[in-house]
Amino acid sequence: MKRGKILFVLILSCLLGLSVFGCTGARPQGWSGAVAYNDILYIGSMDGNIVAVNPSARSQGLSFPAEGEWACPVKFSGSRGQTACASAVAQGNIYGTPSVAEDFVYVGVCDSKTLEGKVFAINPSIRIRGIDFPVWTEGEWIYPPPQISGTGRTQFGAVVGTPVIAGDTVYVGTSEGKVYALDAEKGYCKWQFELEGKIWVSPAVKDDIVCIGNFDGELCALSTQDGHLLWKFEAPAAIASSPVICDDCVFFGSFDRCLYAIDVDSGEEKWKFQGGNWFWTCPLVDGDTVYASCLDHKVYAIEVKTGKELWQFDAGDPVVSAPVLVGDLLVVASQSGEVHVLKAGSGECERSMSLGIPVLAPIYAREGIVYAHAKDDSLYATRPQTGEIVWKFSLAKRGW
Amino acid sequence: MIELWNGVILDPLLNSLIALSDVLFGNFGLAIIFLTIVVRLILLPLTLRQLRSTKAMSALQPKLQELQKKYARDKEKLQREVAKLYKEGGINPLGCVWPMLVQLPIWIALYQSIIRALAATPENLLDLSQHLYSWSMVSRAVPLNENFLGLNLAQPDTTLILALVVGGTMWVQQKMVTAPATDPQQRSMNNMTLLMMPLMFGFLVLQFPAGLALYWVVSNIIGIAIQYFVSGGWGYLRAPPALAPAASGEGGKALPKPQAKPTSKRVSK
Repeated sequence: MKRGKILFVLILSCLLGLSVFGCTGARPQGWSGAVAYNDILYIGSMDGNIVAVNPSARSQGLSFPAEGEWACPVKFSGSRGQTACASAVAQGNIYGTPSVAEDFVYVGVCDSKTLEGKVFAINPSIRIRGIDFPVWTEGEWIYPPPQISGTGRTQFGAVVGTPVIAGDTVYVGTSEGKVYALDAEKGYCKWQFELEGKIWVSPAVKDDIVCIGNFDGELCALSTQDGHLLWKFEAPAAIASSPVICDDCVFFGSFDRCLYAIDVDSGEEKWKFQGGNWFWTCPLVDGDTVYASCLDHKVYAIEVKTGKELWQFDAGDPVVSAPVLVGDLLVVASQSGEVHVLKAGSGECERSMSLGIPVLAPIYAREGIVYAHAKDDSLYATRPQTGEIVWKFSLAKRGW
Repeated sequence: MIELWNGVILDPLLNSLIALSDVLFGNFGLAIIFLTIVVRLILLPLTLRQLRSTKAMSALQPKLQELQKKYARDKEKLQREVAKLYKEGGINPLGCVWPMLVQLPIWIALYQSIIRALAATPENLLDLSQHLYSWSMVSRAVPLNENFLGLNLAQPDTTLILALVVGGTMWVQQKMVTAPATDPQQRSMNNMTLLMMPLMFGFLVLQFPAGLALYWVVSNIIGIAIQYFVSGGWGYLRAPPALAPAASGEGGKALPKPQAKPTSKRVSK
């Protein structure tokens, strides 16, 4: 009887432990992609750093930081809205890819615990010197600035998408449903537009139009001048795929498992393409073809004008990362860490290489090298033409 | 094994919860309450069986204690006598355990569903996509509306209100079935258990999404209601501790003597 009781308690403890601790889902880490500017790659690490990586130094295996390299932590301090580099207590998660313009790096971050967000403007020339961020006199800024956010007057939601720069303005959407236009140089708010649903996507900007989607399924076109609403398209389900504007069309995916093409002037639907699961990432448009990766494990090539499927490729796993083009090759990374190199015209698989680590971040191509930020917080440089991994660099602070 | 668990239990429950949220005006809080009630109603026969077994076991406690005293030095004899007592009373000692074990996977799946459905972070939302059916009502409902009665169901409630309600209802539910012990050591252990679980769950409420706490509250309230109707009252909740040893010492049943109802009579047969 006693043994029975012990067994029962053990089973109960195991089940309770499993249910309480084993099912809370993945810990938020972020999945920032890379972007290059002046031969340096900028990327957000999973432990909350913006890291500048010199591909040349990495290929030579030099110790970090080599020339042009630095890392700046973007963390949230304990008091609401305050940020600090040195005395940080909470990790900021970086989901968006940094944007670079006029020698400045812009990045949006979110605090997964408080669901607050920040936009940082970072001056690489100051970061190299290792001075604490931000140096306001050198053009660096944080939005909302501490004197505003500390008072609790501004509720700036988590930034999951990429801040997009057009001219002298940074456009960003936040999870409390607002679209902000920030002055790129000084970091003040030029205008803001409020929607109801959460925004987890990057805006798309072309000429005088900003397009952005939200969790209420609304795709809104706003004026870049003052943020007034030009038109609104209502999809039947949430939008978590960043839109892309090409010629007279806006392309985006929705949770109703459809990829939409919307007329950029009128906001009217041109066509929609049905997939087998969500279109999670930003589609890639090249000439007459839209390449869209889908969580149904497939990558679709769709005709821009008609929405007709040209070909599809089964990657064997959900494709979370956006595809990239390297010449006439389309490179796709699946969630399991398989990188597939396809002929862009036919979808035929030229070769596949395995990173062995899941890839959720958008991959990035530059000068024939494809960079993938994998779940082990390492940046992999791969050569799609040969299928080799050129180098690997750990972005986690412990790796330097 | 995980695929089997997901495919047979978790995914159907998760998709039902999300579809229900769409039907109930996009209100996920109402969906949690509704599904918890439905699941508890489906499992009611098992719950009743468990309660009756527990009650019958409690009624035998004084006799068991007598036997333990009588055959303290002869373990084999004690086992035989205890088995005989159970047989005479028509009780299976595991009768109160297996209904609980059968229900447990359902509870685990239910609150795994709640956590997964809330998908507060991009990672969670991405993970959720792999568990959803292609029903249009599921597509429409995701991501779920997290707001309910001023609570953000995806975030822990830091106001302590939910923690107190969860802890309080859990304490009441436990107190209703915990027979006052005559042995001081046993009594202090009971008191400790009575306090530990509510405290632990109260603490968990501060760590886990409020949606989960809402599920615990509803589940506890239903548990109290079932307990109330099965045992015909508040059970041991209103039993004065001082009376317990006296009543027990008289060779009667452990306190309080519940109002016999036709349902509870059937158990002892």
